[in-house]
Amino acid sequence: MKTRNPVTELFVPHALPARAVLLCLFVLLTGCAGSGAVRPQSDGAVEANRNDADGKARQDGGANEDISFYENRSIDQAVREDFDAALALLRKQKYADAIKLLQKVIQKTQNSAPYINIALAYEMTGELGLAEDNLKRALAINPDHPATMNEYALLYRRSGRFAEAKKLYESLLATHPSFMPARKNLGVLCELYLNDLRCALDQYETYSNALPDDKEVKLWIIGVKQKTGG
Amino acid sequence: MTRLLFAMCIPLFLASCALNSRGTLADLRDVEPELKDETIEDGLDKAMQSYRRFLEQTPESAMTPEALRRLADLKIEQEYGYVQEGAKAAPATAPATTETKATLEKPQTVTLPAASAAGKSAAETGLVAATGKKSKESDKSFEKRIAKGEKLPPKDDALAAPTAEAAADLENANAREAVELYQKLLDRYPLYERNDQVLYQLSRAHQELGEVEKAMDVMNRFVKTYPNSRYMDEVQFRRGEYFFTRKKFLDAESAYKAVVDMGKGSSYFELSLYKLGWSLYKQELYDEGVEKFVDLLDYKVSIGYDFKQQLSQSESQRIDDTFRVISLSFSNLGGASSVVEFFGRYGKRSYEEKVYSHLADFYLDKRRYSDAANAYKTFVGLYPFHEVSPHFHMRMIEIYQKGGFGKLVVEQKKEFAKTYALNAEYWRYFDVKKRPDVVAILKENLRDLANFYHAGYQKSRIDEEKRDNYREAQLWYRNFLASFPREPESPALNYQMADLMLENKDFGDAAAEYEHTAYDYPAHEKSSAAAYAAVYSWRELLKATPEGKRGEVRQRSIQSSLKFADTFPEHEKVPAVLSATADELYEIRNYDLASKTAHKLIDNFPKAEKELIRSAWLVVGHAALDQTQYAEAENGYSHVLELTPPGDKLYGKVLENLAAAIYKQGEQASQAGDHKMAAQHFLRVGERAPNSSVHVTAEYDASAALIKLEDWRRAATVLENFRKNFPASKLQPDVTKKIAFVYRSDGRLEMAAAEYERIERETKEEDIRRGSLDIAAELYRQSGATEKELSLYKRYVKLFPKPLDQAMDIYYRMAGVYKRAGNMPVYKDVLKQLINMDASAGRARNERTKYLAAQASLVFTGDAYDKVVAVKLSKPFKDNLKKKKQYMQEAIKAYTKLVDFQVGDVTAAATYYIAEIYYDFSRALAESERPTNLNAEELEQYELALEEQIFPFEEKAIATHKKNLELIQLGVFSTWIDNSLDKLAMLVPAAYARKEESSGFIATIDGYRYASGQHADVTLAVDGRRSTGKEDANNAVEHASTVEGVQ
Repeated sequence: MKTRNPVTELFVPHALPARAVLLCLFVLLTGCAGSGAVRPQSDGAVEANRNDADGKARQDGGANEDISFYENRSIDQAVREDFDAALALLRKQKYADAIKLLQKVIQKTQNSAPYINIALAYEMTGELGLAEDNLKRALAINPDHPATMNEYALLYRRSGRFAEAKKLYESLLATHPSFMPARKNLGVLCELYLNDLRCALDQYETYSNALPDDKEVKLWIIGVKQKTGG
Repeated sequence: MTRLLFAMCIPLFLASCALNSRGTLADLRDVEPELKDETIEDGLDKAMQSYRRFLEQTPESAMTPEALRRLADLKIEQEYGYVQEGAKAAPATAPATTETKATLEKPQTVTLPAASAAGKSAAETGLVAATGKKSKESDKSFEKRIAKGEKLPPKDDALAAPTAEAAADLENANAREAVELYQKLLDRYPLYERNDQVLYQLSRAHQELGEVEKAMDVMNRFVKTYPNSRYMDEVQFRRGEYFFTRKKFLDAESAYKAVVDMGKGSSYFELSLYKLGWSLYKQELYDEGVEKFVDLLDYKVSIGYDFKQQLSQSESQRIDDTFRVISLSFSNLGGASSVVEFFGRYGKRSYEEKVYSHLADFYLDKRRYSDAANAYKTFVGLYPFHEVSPHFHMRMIEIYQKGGFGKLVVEQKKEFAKTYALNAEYWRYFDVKKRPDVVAILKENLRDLANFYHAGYQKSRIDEEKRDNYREAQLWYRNFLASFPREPESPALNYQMADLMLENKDFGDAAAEYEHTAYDYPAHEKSSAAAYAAVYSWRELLKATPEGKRGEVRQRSIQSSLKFADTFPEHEKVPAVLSATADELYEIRNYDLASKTAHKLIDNFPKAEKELIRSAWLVVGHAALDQTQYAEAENGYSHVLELTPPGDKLYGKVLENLAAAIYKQGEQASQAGDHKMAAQHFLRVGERAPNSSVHVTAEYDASAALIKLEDWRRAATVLENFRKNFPASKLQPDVTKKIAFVYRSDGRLEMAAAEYERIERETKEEDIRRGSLDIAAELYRQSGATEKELSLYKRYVKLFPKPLDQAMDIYYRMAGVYKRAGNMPVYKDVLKQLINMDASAGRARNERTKYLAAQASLVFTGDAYDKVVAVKLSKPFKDNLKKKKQYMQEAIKAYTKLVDFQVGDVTAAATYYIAEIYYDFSRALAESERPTNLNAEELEQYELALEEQIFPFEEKAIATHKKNLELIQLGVFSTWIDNSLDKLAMLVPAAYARKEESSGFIATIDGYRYASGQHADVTLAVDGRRSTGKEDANNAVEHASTVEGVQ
């Protein structure tokens, strides 16, 4: 029995022309008909769309790729509503209530999102230990989730575990090179905490290349260069 | 007077006289004439009167002798009531129909004696049935009967044996008159053409009058005078009878031979041939006699006589007598061997077997069993493939039986069984289907042999004899079954054979044969019994098989049992067999089938014995337990308990198993992560089996499951009950810990703290006691029970002054209590105590003691910093400046001293504060009160000069904060360093203001999308000094995490 690939099935990258869409459909169909034409993907795995307009693999390390995926979708409507309600509470800074509601959600379904949000809520209340516990659980569900990895690396940095933070950023970027927040955060880590200005400069420059409109980072590049005497 | 009279008329009579009719007086005896009831008044008298008138009134003529003869004949007729052949000329007795004439042409029917009461011959009835049914007439009587001569009409009896009564009866006028008339006729008309007839009639008349000798004289005259008379055969036969009855056998032989020599045309031929044989026999010329008898039989065969279908009883009697005299003859000649010799010489005959069988019967009558059997045996030996040979063989066996020759009976039965086995040569000549008689005998013999040896086996007391009988019985049973596998009686024989094997303790063979009997035949009355016997035999074999070699037998036993139950569910033993089979299956660990078998009993035989049902449920329970099917196990044990009185020994054990089954369900649920279900099961153990040994553990595990469910209230209830119900349990200390944990988790912190206190009291291990006090104090802190918190700290440091660092930790927290209570003096006293403890710790001093002392010292240096900040550079400016500088020096000195503790966090704090002191001074200068007496230009100059004063302090502050950053490279990181960074971000934003970017809250539960080339435009504020601040978190939602198009 084949497992349907939810990514190729539903998502059509914005940048892809109609021809690529047709190709995706073709891949989907052959995946259904053949054996192993499309790698079955378990819930929670992250799949970046690595095809360019011609359907060929990109050679730039994938810095401009979108990241999108589904996790477990068999979720009761009532659970979805609880999650949405918790989100509203978070927006209103009612973190304790939000956490309680999200804990109710995680009794019913094991998805990354509620754990990440609980972790962020705990960070807001300064309970970094609990925040870390929930990020761990999120990572267990989906070890490649870029948001989880990014938040976990930030937590490492805040608790002085710089080497672990750097390793996690690097891992994240190896999997999702287009995830720019991590690239920026790694640059900050290198510049301010690790005193690795070369690293910082590389990350800022990559970031800036991807997001040239971000003038702040351009200034950071100048600042780093000044520190290095460049 | 009404009389029966032949309806005849003279013309017809005369016409009949003209015919060459050969009827005699005797002919009339057996004739069934066609009669009419017709009343003729005085018919004979009128006829005689008519003839008399003719003789009296008519002149002598050619008709006179004829009239004389007829008148004489009529007188005879009137006297004796029958009409001789010559009387046929008389008008009154003329035959009415041709049928009468035809009947009259069968002399043998006339002359044969009345049929005896003898039954059919052996040949007719089947030899087997012939025994004992043969005439009881002795040989002597037989010969005597023959010696009396052939039984002729009553009036003829005088010829054979005249008696006084007969003589008296012959005193009859008419007969006398007839004799006179015949004599007168002979005398007066010697040339009368029918004088042979007259002589013949005269001899008859004499005979009627009892004048036998005169009759013989007349017949002798007749023989000499009329050798060619048509009455010669009868006259010679009568002469033969005369001689035979007077034992003048040679004369008789001659007379009979004369008739025989006349040939088969004579109606006296057959009888004469018979009597000729007898005449020879009586002369002891047995061989010659047999030849005549065989000639007679040959003659009978030649005229189509069928030995098997005699129509006439009298004829049958004579044939029987013929065989009997043949038997007598051969007996005299030497028995069966003489028969062989005779037919060897005389030629084979189709009826030869009857000769042998009669001879055998002859011997049997005389109880000469051996000779009788030998007769049959001889025939069978000569003609093994004769169709009667099997019967003869069987007859031979019967004779042996009758003679009491048991051994010979058995031998011959075996011989029979071999000779006529369905695969024997015999059947090359006969179609089995056409010889059901032989097959039936064979079947009977095989069965008899099997039964005989079976019985012999049962009677035998000697082992060897028993073995032989067993082997033979088996052999014949098997022969029967091989030859007749599908006969109605085959299943019963098969069953018997299996019984035999069982008796001999050949359990395996017996079981196989019982199974064959039960299942391989169409249903029969013993089917189910055989099936059960098979089961029994397998079980017996199992018992007799050494342990360790029982595997195969057990399997067969089980298979047989299950088949029995499936095939014969109506059999009374099925429930018991199913029960035992379920037990066995369980023993061999075939749990699945054991359970199915037990269920078969339970479901299909609800009315079976209670004990069987209970046993079946026990198997269900055990099998399920071993298969980890604990719900099914619980079901099984529950039923067992329903059927078991509480006082029964079994009850307690089953209750234990029931509890285990329920408990295991809890374990399974727990392993599957279904803690709710696990808790239910664990708690059910107490409900169903409160006295079970596993109850305690179940309750404990129930609490654990509820804890995992975070169902704190129920967990607490279970644990509290545990504490109450199982006070002696070794688990009590753990229960206390759990209660403490549950209370704590449930927010009942003070109750939790009390439990930790209890742990501390109940535990001897110092580490646990210290830890419990620690936690309890913390819980009191969290619950706001400050006094209890403080009392625990005091208890702690009293009980555990060592290790020092841990005690100092408690002091440090104690200080915190005082601080929170606003009791700053005591707070600082405690901090000083900490500093002193570290200073005097000696070898007990370690990183922790230094850290705590450093932290305590930091509090005191904080006071110095506060003093610095508190001094504003306002009027009196110089005084305040001086004071502030002094305080600065003191503070910097104090902070610098803190570095001596070599505690990274404290060093960072000290560095931070030193930097802040510089920064404060720069700000103090910048915000100092300006002189009021300066003009604008002077004021500008003042500002510039002030600026120059400020800048170095600001640079010092920056440099000092930067120094703090260097601690990172030394492996130190604390909030004080982060604070320095924040400060640097503000002071040197180009170099240090760096906002990290959070992913923000995730807006969709089941999907995520990050669009390439974008970044979070609102970043989650994880660090206020380098971001937009925590307040921005409100808006820091879902830029990067917003999933488009999902849902």
